[in-house]
Amino acid sequence: VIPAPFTYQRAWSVDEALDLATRGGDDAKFLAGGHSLLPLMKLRLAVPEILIDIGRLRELSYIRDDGSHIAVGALTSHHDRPAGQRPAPARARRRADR
Amino acid sequence: VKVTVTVNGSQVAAEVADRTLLVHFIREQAHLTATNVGCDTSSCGACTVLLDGQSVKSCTVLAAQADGRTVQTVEGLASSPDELHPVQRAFRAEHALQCGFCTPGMVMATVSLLAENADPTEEEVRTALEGNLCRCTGYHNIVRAVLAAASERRPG
Repeated sequence: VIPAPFTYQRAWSVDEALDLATRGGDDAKFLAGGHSLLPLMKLRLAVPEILIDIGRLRELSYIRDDGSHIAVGALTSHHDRPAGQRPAPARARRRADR
Repeated sequence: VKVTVTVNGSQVAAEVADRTLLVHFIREQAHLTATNVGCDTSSCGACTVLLDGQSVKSCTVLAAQADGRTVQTVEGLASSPDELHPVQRAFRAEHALQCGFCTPGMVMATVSLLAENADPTEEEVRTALEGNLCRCTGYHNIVRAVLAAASERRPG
């Protein structure tokens, strides 16, 4: 099974990705890894006309302790979390309580 | 879209449709057919290959996403056609396959695991192979093979 036809665009910077998204409007979707979007596209549950590949924007992949909160970049994969470290529910809850 | 991928050390370049999946590029452009399409929905892991050293399910990656990058398939593991990679040897020795359909993906997922964790526990092996389904073996011999491959690689 393959997705319906679309136009592939690759962004090399966050600015370029935002620019491509603005021009693409509702017809465009961001492609990160694709392991959720591509199966939906094979089933025709999603039929974007433009895919903007942001997979190479490594600056969006980070886990950072900002003191009052932990920031997780939009491209951080589950696998990227520090080895052996589980999500910190206590800290997450503290953040949510504020 | 023009796509150039280094597959098992050889550069493969082709003009393909934007929607071409990496697994089809590997099978039809690189003519390497060990990588299987199983479920085609990123569930079964039969199509697992290494993309820049990381395991991915190639039925759910666009060929365009792999442009300029490096792919390794099970055909690229052994150093010569007469030899088997240690992981392949362990799979054979431990009877870690029956029909063999899932095996290329299982082997690549194992290579990826051992590259990150040279000495995994049984639980870590089972977690690492979570994304690879086998309908024949019941997994026990696969886990045994992965642990055997790991201990073979350890010095002493």
